[in-house]
Amino acid sequence: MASIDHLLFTGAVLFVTGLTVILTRRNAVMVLLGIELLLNASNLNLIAFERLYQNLSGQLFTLFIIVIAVCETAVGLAIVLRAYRFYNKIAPNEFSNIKE
Amino acid sequence: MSGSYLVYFSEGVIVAAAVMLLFVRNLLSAVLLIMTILIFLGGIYLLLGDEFIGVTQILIYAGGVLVVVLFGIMLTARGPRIPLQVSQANLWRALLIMVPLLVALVLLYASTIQGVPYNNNTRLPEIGLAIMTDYVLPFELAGILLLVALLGAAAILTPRNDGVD
Repeated sequence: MASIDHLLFTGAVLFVTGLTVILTRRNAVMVLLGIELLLNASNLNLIAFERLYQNLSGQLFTLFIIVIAVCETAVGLAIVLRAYRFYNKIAPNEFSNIKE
Repeated sequence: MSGSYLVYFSEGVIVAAAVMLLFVRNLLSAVLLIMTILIFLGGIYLLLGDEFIGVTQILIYAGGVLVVVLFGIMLTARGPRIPLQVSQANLWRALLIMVPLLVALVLLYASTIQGVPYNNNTRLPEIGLAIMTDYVLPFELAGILLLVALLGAAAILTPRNDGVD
């Protein structure tokens, strides 16, 4: 019988990768994709424990997390495009009126 | 249990793509690597018996979110002849923090829940019943949230004619 620990390891790798992408990439769209990776890591953990405990709430939470991730991407991308039009830059640390 | 080897294979692909994602310079390759990760995650969900989540994952992420993100990347490109490179700041310093975090997480998981069995029988009819009975309020709220996000994104992107932008 298989065990769930490898699923949790994969989730940990995804979480760390998403956090590193958020911290290092100098592109606001990539930062949004890093947030998606974080949400997917949490989804994988929820699915793993849903398989372990046979509790239906895990799948439903995963479903609602996917829906919320879609909303976050739509609104976040709209904000990023707006900021790009305003500042003509895409790196998140350049979204500032004070710094030249 | 031939399916479990497919799960291991998918996890290997996900980990390899995640490591490559940290070092790739081209923006388009990065998005395609993320698409690989998301599709193989959907495959894992399918193999584990969560067919509804797996199909939703592939439909929404690979079909919806990443196409929208590709449009965002094209709209924020600097010019038609400039390659879509993205520079990285502080990659090694970030890895100096993140690698110990990964080791800590793996050690935590390995020390607590190693070797716990699971079963991969499907529960598709129960999901449909649960969405329509016990979870009908969150389901409807998710629909309203999607509508509000759609309208909000359109409202944010609509150009105003008051000279601000």
